[in-house]
Order: sequence, then structure tokens, then C-alpha cells
Amino acid sequence: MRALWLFAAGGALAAPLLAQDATTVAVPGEATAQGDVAVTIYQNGQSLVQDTRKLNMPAGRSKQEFPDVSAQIRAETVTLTGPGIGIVEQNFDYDLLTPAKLMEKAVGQTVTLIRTNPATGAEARVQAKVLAANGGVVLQIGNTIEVLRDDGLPVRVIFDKVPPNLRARPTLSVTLESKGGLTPTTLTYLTPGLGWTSDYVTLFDDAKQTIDVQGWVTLTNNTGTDYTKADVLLVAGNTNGGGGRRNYTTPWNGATGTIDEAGTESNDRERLGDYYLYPLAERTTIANAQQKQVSFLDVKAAPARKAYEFNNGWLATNEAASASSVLKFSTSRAGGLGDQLPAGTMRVYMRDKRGDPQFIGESRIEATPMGSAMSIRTGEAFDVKVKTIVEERTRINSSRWKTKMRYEFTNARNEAITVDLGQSGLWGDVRIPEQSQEGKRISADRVEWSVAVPANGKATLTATFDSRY
Amino acid sequence: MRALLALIALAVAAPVAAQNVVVSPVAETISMTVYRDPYRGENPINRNWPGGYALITETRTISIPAGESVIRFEGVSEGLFPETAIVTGLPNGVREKNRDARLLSPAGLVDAYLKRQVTLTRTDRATGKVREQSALVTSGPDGGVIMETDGGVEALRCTGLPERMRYGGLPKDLSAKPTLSVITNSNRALKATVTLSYMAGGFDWQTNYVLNAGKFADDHKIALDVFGWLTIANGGAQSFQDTNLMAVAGRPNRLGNAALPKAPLPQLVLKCWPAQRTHEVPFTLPYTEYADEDFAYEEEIQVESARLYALPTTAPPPPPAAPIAAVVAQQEELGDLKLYRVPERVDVNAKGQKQVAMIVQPKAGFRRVYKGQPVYNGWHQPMVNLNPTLVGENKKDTGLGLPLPSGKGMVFENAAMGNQLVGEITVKDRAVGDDIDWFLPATSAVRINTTLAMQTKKSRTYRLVLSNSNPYAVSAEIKFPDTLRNLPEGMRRDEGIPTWFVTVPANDSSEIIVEVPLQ
Repeated sequence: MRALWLFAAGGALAAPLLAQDATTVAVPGEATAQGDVAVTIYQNGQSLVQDTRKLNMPAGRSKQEFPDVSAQIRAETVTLTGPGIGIVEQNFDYDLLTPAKLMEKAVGQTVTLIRTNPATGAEARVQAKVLAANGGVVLQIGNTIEVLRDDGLPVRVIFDKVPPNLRARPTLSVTLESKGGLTPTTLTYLTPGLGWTSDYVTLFDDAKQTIDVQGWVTLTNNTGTDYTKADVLLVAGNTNGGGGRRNYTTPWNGATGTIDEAGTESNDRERLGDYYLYPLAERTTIANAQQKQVSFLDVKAAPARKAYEFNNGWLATNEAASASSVLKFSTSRAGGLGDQLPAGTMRVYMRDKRGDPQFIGESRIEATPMGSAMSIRTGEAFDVKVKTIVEERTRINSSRWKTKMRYEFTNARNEAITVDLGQSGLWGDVRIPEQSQEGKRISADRVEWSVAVPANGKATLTATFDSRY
Repeated sequence: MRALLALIALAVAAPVAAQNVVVSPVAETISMTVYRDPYRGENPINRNWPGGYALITETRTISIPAGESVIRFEGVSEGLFPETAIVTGLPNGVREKNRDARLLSPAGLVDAYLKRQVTLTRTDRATGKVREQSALVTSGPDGGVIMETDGGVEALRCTGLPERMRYGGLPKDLSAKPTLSVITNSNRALKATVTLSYMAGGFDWQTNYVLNAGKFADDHKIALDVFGWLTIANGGAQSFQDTNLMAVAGRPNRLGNAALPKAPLPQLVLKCWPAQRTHEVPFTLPYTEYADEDFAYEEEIQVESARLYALPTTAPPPPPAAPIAAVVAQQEELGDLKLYRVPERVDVNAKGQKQVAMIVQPKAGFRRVYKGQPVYNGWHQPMVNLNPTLVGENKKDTGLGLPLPSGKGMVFENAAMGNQLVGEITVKDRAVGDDIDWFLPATSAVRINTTLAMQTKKSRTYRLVLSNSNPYAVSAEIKFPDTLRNLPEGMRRDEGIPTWFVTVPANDSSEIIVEVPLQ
């Protein structure tokens, strides 16, 4: 829709009103200077645009301007290829045309003033030379010097032409040598401002213990430019962060804790190195300031189950707090979603008594390989609570303490449940000499118990910790 | 507004022959489920833009022509999160969903007409004569507008003359509001009932409890009339008529929404060249905005709003009687959350707060217990006022036994001067079977004084004196979260913490001695 916005820029300005011959009522929105556009969008905010345009070039050396490229183009990444063309130089000019710039560049030149008499409307035309444009505009008219509009009366200032190298938008131009004629050329560049993520709509059926999952790709375009009828390819992965292995630090890699066990399966989706590719089935126009969603996944009745989790970080007395509601399912081919999931947001819905879907919570998920076991924390359970109590703390000797913990579970639901209680903060050397039920020390820092809580009932777990503090 | 959008729709329909544009102006049935702001804490609802959200489900009947069509949804909430939109009921599903934020605005028009012809109209102030001229927009809208006419190059409205631009038609893709649309295909023309469901910000709710405590007396027992309002706020500019209104209690996870694409600025800011005049020294501005003073100064008129703080001239309002609810929201289970459904269809007004009864439990059995914790810190032992606390159990046999969602409450006591407010309380989510502690503001009528009575190398001994200046006996629970040599008589462990359980007669005091070993 920004069609032809560079059409008259640069050299073409010598003949103003070039487009005046065009039809008088030209409603913008149809034409674009873009050719066959292919856009590859990565998840780190970079995108690769490949634009194949047919250029009619004279033989020999010529300067070609490229309107309708991304307004945020990374000009240093531009490559132009085509049969029989050789590149002389590439220029990216971003000196913008504004009234102040226009006047500044007119210093030393002659402009036309048209003064309007406010009483009669009579116009008087006079030539003036612009001497300076600092704070105000100083003019020489004949042999006298005056300041523009010093009397506050209307004066039109008419310039002969737009100065060269001033443009309405930053402009990419390539000087090239060619044999001439209509040549298909491909312009390739990177641009920020385009990005995508995934949104998953998950409908959980508690009675059947299944989920229906729909996946949507959500594209956003902030580049300031439309991409008309583009062939869109989405790459699930981040191409940033090259430059060697990271051995010394553990970078935050977007882990969300939603993958219990990473999968090892793959399917026939197209790949690029380690990344999965998601081509859009049909060409589409990505308009500026647009958010677009396209479906890519639709799975019905995959098995899923609900669970409860509670994490206690430190041996302390806390009032009863809700356990997390967790939805567990798999992305494997057998008994799961059967696909890998690009990073995004999963929203979980459930039907109410009347059968209408209601939102019950959402979770960020990271890029998940196929075959993974997943657990999505949807929220806190109103009716399932855990109270942690330090019952006794005694000193064994000068370096060891004994802490007796009691965990009280309450369940106000009318069905029996199991709560996975995790106690972390054990620092490796904490021993558990007594416990009312066998727990699982899953790491030096953490122990986990699965506690059954009867319907509308309570359960208690006690454990004694032998620690240095 | 609607007519304007329809016009845009027509304008859009023309250039893209392959796509039909169908405008769905209004929803037929609306369901709305409001969720609380998960991060509000104990703060009140922000009525200007509530921090919670709502799930809105609408049905709309749409005539779909054969072929590919774009369906635009109007009258949706302005807080719509487009990535949450779900459209069902279309014969061949949805190919793509779009939300366009480029607005029809002065700057949007200049942007759309860049390098295109417009008509420049100048009116002579003296004679009223109108002169029209075609011009090409050379540059704009950022930093001013430059036009090329037959005469040469000029800057718009730097002249002091009344000038305006006229455009030949409405540009495609510019709309009055950010618009949600979907693209779908159909083999034949048909009428479809489409369900549009989306989440939107700018909503919130909480429970407001009205608690009537009867008269405080010696027996510490209170028959509390528990009444709860479902308070729902809509901070948006869109009203929802005849809505099936629901609210969800509990804490579903909610993440921040991804940033939406930013629309270009709608304002057209016309900057000119430096326009200082000889008498205006020293100059400070490199240029002036709106160098045309006739135009500029009109724009700078500012309206200052004044506010009157009227003092109440009438007597304070009569004490609130317990409200009688004709309609009570019904509670049902929704997974691990609680759903409250208003049984009748109601209007949810733009910029409005609505209340419907949700909890009516008269004569629930509570106890009044004074709770607190002494402050003792070496030699400095201040007196501590105790909090009168309404202590209960959320069980059927005490007159409750239903989920109590979080919110605020007012406690009234039926005193000699009538029903009077004794304090406001904060209520947290309480499930069936949970213990309830509703703390009223601390009172100086019942307080605890801690004195260091004796110190040896091995221990410190404190004397705790609980004084009651009320004309009735009070029951108190004082927590002493420390390691004690022995639990003195009158103290026992409550949740691992030594606690003094005591009843102090009217206008009297009680004391206890505790010994803290020094280690």
C-alpha cells in the first residue's frame, strides 16, 4: 500500500509531477513495487526477505532504486543477484526530506515568495535569495535584507525543486552494470521487526481424560512495510548466539519446566539443520502493524491426565497454600500429540456444566521435541492445599540440627487425589533419618513424596531432616 | 462509526476482486467469564483499567458468499488479545486470522497518499474565494508534509494561509479501530452461525463481604451473617447487553501478553522551517511546530478540569441492614477452579461496576478471639495491641461449608447506637473445610505488655501481661515463636509454635512467665 513511494525520489525529481498523468482518483492499496516475495521468519526477530523483481535496465551502468523494501532493512545485508548484472556499488541513504531540511538546503539559492494581502486577497510575487536558516529564515529581496514572515502575514515559499539525496523514506539504491533489457533480479536482505510465536488452544476433557489441541502460528509485522502475496516460511529456532560453545556459563535457554522428559522422535516435517520449518500453505499478505494467525496443528482426543504438585523451598512454617494443578500429556506419535511443538503459549480450556468452554489457565512452553513427556501448570487448585509446619527444631551437636517437619494436605474435592510434594533446599548433605512414607531423593537438593489424599479429607506426612543449619 | 466502517468495507471490496468482505457488526448472544487480576494483591480494583481479564464468547449470524471472504468482527472489546481469538462454525474453518492496527487518521492518510495526487484547497480569508490545485505528496507524514505543485515545491501549512488537502478515496487497510478479521473459503453462499471467543483485558472482579456480627458479649461466640457481593468491573468502552455473566475464582496461570504490533502515530505533526521573527530573541527552538499561528494557537487551548470536594451536609447514611438477595449467583465446579454464574442475563456496561449477590449464609458460627504476638527484643519491649479476630471453620455444621473467594469485607456490630462498622477485613480464598481467620484492626482495649523479668547467663525470663479494658471477657491466643525451656501452664504448641491460650475476665488482666534459653 505504500506503493510507489520512492517513485519520484532522486533523479526523477527533475521532472516534478511525474505521476500527474495517472488517473486522477487513484485510491492507494493496489500497486506495489515488490515482485515475487518470499519471507523466512525466525523466532529471534530476524527475517530473511527474498524479493524477485523484473527490472528494465539500460545497457551499461545504471542506478536502480528499490522501493517497498522493509523500512527497517539492515542495509549491510543486502545482496542483489541476476543474470548478466555486476554490482558497482550499493547505497543506503537516510537523509529525510522535511520542511526544515528543504529550507536548510536552499541557503544560497533563490526561491519564489507569494505574499497575500489579507484585506484584498491580492497576490504579489517576488524572488528572494535565502541567506540563512538559523532560528528564523533571513532573505535577500532585491537589495534589502529581511526575515521571512517577520510581520506575521501569509507568505507562500515556493522552491524550484527538491534537493538531491533528500527522500521521504530511507532508500536503497544499487549501481550496476548490465547488458540491458528486462532482467529478473533477486534482492535478498535481513530485517528486524517480523517475528512469530505459537499459540496453542487446548480443550481438556476431565471425564474422558483427553485433550484436543489446536496450534496457531502468530505472526507480527512491525517493519513499517507490507509484504504482498508473500511465500512465508517459518523457522522454529533461534539463529542468534553463534560463536563457539558455551562451557563456562550456563546460559538461560528459555527453559520453562514444561518438559519432564525430552523426546527423541522426529517426523516428516521439513528441516533446516537442527530447526524445523513451517511453510504456510498459501501465499499471504503480511500487512504492516498486523498480527496474523495461521493454523498448523490440529489433534483430537490425545490422552491427558490431571495431577497436583506442591513445592516447598525451605523448612519453614507456612499457612495453607494451594497446590498447582498440572496437566500431563505426551508429544509422542503413539498416545500423544505426534508432533514437535514450537515455543509459545498453551492456553487450557475446559467445559463448564452447560458445555461452554471456560479458560482454566495458561503456560509458556519451550520448543519441545516430539516424544516428550510434558506437564503444563495451569494454575492453583482452589480445593487442594498444603500447610507446612516446623514441629520441632533441636540441636544435636555443635554442627548439626534436627528439624521435624509436618506437611498437612487438605482436599475439599469429592474425589481422591495424589499430590506430588517436593521439598528442596537440602544442599546435598541433609539426611532424612525418619519419614512417615518413603520418598524419592531425586537429587542432592530435593526429595519428593507422592501423597494420597482422600476425597473431602486430609492427609499428613512427617519427616525429620538432619542438617548443618 | 458503523456506517463509516461499512464504507471502508466497500472500499476494500473493490480493489481485491477475489476476496469478499463481510462485516459482522454486532453479536447476538454474549457470554462473559471474568477472571481476577492475579497480581492485584489486596489493592482495590483499578476502575479505570481493571487488571483482570475476561473470556468473551459471542455468536453471530453471517451471510457468507461463495469463494474466499474476509469476515470483519466489529463491536468486540477494545482490550481484545488477538492471539486468543477462536472462531468456530465456518464451513471450511479459518485460513488465517488478522488484526490490523493501521488507523484511519490524518497521518495515516498522508502516509497512504505519499507519492500520489491530492487536491490542495486554499481559501482566501479576505474574499472567501476558494482555489483548488492538484499536488503530489512528496514527503510526509513524519516531520512535516512537502507537496509538489505546478509552481514548484512547497511545505504544507508553513504559509499562514488556510490550506487543506482533499483525498480521492479511502485507502485500503485503514480502519477506524484495530480490527479482527478472518479469511475463510466456502463452496457456496450460505448463512452461518459463527462463535467468536476471545480473551480481553480491562475486566476484574472480587467478592465484597458484608458481615453482621450481632452484639459482642462475654461468651466470645458470634452468629455472623455472611453476605457476599460478586463485584464485577468493566473498564472498557464497550457495553455488553443481555450477557450470560460468570466469574471464576481460583488462580489460573496467566502470562503477560505478547506485545502487539505498534500502529504508526495517528497524529499529523506539521513541522516547518525555522520561523523565528526579529522581535523573538533569544531563540531557543530550532523550528516551531505549527508555524501557522492562526492554526497553532487554536490547538493549544487547554481545558483544565476542576473538581469540587463537597462536604457532606446531610447526616451519615443509615446503618446498612443485611441486604436481601432476590438473585444469587450459582456456584459450580470448573476443574480446580470455582465458577459463579449469574442466573439471569444482565447488561455489563462500559466503564461500569456491577454487583450481584453470590453468598448468603446467615448465622454462621464464629468465635471472637484476640490474636497477636508480643514484641520482645533485648531490653526494648513495647506494648502490642491485639487484633480482634473472627475465627471459624468453613464447614456445613458451622453454617458455612462453601468456597469463599478472596476479596474485602466490612464487619458490622449491632451496638447501642445501631449497626456500626467495626472494621474492614481482607479475605483470602478459603476452600471447604479450611480454617478462617478474619483479622479486624488492632485495638488498644486489649493489649499485651512484655517485660524482661530476669536475665541470667543461661536464659532470659519474660513476663507477659494481657490487659483487657472491655466490660466483657475476652478470649486470646498469643503466639511466642521462640524456643522455650519449658512450656508453662496455659501454653501449648499450635502448629509448632508455643501459644498462650487464655481467657481474661472483664476489666482485668492475666499474666504468664516464659523462659528463653540463651545459646
